[in-house]
Amino acid sequence: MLLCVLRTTSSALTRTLLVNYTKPMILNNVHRPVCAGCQQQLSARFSSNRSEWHGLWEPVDLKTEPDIPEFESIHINMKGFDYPVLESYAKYVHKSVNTIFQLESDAWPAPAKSSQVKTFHPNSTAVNDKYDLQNYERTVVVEDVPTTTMPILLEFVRKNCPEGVVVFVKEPNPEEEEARYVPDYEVIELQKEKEAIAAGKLRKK
Amino acid sequence: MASPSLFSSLMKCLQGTLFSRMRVLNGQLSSHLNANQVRHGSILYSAICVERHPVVTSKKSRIEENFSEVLSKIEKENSYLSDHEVRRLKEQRAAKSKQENAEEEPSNIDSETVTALDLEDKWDAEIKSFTPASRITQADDTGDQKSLDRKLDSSLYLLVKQNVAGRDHWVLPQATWEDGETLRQTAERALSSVCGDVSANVLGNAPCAVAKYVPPSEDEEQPIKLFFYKAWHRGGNVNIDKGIASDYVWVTKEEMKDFCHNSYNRHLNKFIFDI
Repeated sequence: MLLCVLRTTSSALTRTLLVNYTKPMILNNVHRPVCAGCQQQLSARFSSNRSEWHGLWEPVDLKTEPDIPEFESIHINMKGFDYPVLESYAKYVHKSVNTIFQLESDAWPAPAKSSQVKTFHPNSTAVNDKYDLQNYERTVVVEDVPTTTMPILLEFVRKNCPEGVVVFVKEPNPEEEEARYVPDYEVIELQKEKEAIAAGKLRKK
Repeated sequence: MASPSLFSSLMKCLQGTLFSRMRVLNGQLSSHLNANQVRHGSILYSAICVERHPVVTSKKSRIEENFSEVLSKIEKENSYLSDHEVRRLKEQRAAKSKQENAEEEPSNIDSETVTALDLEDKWDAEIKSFTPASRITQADDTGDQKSLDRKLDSSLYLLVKQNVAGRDHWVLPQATWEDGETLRQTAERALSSVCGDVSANVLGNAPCAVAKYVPPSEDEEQPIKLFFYKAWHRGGNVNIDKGIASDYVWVTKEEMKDFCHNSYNRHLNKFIFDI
């Protein structure tokens, strides 16, 4: 026989019920064992109560969307053959987005793409010069950009762009995001095996 | 005799700007502004500022040049030797020691190996044979203000001589707002109707500045609101429509003062920066 611990103070329903089963009720992260009848009352009373101590307080003036619509995220993609220039520009853009524009941002590099250029002597295949070039890439992601700030950001990026750097400002593309991940060959092989078994082609030895 | 200038310099339009921006953003432009027009009777114009961005980077000022020289000297002193420099030093030392020991060992003729100094000579010759394109074009020399090739290191803006309220003024291409279109569409229409083949990307659906003209007495003239849009030039030069505009120029910000009215220029200064 267990006693109901919590008593309601409302006049009509002050009674103690003796029941075998008590269900704990969580009020403000404190577990209190409460009988079924009281629990119904209590939850009814406390859910509508806006007090901080006796229930969940719900603010009245919540806005689900900002007044000025915002771009969720914008990718500023910078590519160039000249490493120090590109690196310093990417750093400048990232810093400015944090300090001048006061927007959340993230930045990452992408692996450089190397290429080789050969010049030949005139009218022959004898190599005159060989150049090993690397096209470096940096991306700065800016989040929650208000649409009124976007043109200013675009102008800023364009006016400060140094020579030799190509900039793309775009919204995120999930297909391009895949290139960032290193494929797990073991997982891919196992998945292929699984499909083959499902198709019935692979016979278990 | 002088007709009143179109745009008064008194701006109390912050609320008005925000109001019209909100409307434009919410896409309720046509219905609400039509109601406003009927009530207040103001004429709405949309002007487009087409900017051709610099093609080459601007020259450094004397201070900037001196400072960058000092910085690169410091960087060079603090840096490690590259592979090429290491090789060059090694060969220099070998050559020196060979000179000192010239009588002791017979010199091996290394005619096939290419020394670092040979490479450097080859590279110097290559640089000398390369001539970069000139920063000053033919259009700069002739001072042709209609050409897009002028002043490659600064921004050029398009100005047209349009008939506004009975008189010809040098303004950004503008058009009157019509019912059922957004202000941005008006700006794009202004560009295509006045200039023809110029293609430009307008930045944003909201205008970047507004100019209001409230006439002294409500009865004679209607109040005017002019919304400015910024656009980046993508291609094509002006193919002027003689009916609407008589002339055009592509000018830098300093040169704009020679063409536009002072009061109009003051509005332009709000969103055109010479950076």
